Amino acid sequence: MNGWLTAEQVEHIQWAVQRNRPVGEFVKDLRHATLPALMEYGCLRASMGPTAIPTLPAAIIESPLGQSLDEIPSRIGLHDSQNHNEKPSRVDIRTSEFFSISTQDELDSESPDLTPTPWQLYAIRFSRSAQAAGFNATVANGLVAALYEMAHNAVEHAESPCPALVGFQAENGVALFCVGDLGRGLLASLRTCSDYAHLTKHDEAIATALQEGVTRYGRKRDGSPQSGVGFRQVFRALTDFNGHLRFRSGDYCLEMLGSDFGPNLGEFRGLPLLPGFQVTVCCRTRANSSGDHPDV
Amino acid sequence: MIVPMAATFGKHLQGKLPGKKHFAKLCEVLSNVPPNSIVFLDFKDVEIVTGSWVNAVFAPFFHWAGDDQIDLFPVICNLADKHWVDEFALVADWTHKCFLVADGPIPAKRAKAIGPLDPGQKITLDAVIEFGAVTGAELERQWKPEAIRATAWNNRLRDLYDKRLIRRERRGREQVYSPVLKEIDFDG
Repeated sequence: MNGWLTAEQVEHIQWAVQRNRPVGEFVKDLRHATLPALMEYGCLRASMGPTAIPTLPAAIIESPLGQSLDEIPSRIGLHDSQNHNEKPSRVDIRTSEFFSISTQDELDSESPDLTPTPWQLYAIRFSRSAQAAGFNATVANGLVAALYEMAHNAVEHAESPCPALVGFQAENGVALFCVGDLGRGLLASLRTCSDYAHLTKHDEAIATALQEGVTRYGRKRDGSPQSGVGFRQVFRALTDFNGHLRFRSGDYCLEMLGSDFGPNLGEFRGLPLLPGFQVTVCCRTRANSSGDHPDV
Repeated sequence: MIVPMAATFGKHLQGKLPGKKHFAKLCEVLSNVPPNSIVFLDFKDVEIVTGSWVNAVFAPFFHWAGDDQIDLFPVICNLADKHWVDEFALVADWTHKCFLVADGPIPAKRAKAIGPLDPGQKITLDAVIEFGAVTGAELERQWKPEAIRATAWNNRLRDLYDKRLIRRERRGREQVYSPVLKEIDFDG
């Protein structure tokens, strides 16, 4: 779609840059961006540097989504200076919001009696915003649970040199979230476990990571899995909806579109190498299965 | 004993690390409950339950509940979302445990057993539900469909007791087994 920066356009930009082709003019003419595109463009710019990957045009930075991203410091976002707004303590509905996260402690609260943490407030805002966008509370909370699992994976396994970036968007029958990091990626993470040391390719690593019970911690002494149910939560969140899943790690991307989601579904595409792991989970109500602009 | 899960642990029950902490807190909450008690874990008002949390809490919790000195029989009540039941089923498969899941007012009278049971264990659970408080020797005499020796019944009864599906009391030199709830269905 003309003027839109989508996740696929980010791939094209990366291909072009790697072939030493100019991308400045193309980027300059962009007017809109999807959330996954902003996330992956940020990862690309942070890994290849601002000389190779130009700043996004003002039309995107000043858009509601761009302004949401501008609210938080992140190397993957628009800036990483710390002199911006404090995290909000209200739980108002928002059409989009980002969160930068670096430790597991930020995700978890000790007790229900304590004041909600910034992450918990962010999760409540996502749930309320998804409900306002047309999803019932069960579905909205399922998406929040999936977001938690993906954010938790990022801080637990990625060993990223900078905090992971989380973002959600919710309006008009569409609720989506992204989690992106600049860490070691799924392949290197899984290979730290002897059970998965045989893996050599990024697509194999993505396919393996999506299986239930797979984790770099291997199995317990009795043979049962230690954990490894995070992606199950993602597939579950999209049950009965028109959705779009995108998992990018290393030099592969796995995408699933439609209403069937599971560990052995979707199509792999080879891509230029990008550090870390980027996840997109997009959920659409049936009524809004074909929007007038791209979501991913 | 009823444990209101939302009030005790929060409405969002997710994550491995919170699950580990909640397991410890659950043990603490139940520390004064007498052995051989049924514990109803009420998920009313809970909004999120994930597999990672269930695995972190319930794999060790059922092990702890089965300790001779603890000897508690958990019943998981009022899971609002059928997907949450699936999470318990997954963890049951992984850990070879069985969870009693009930809906409606507490104390529940009826529950569904979620998790792997072999055909012999299912027959034994059916027999205990049919006969009420019973010993292996009584089952050998009363069970008509097939001839099963008391030793075999006792082995199966012990397995079901370890899975927290039936209770056990000593009567003289005999072990008497009875169902945790009056009605227990099998999942699937």
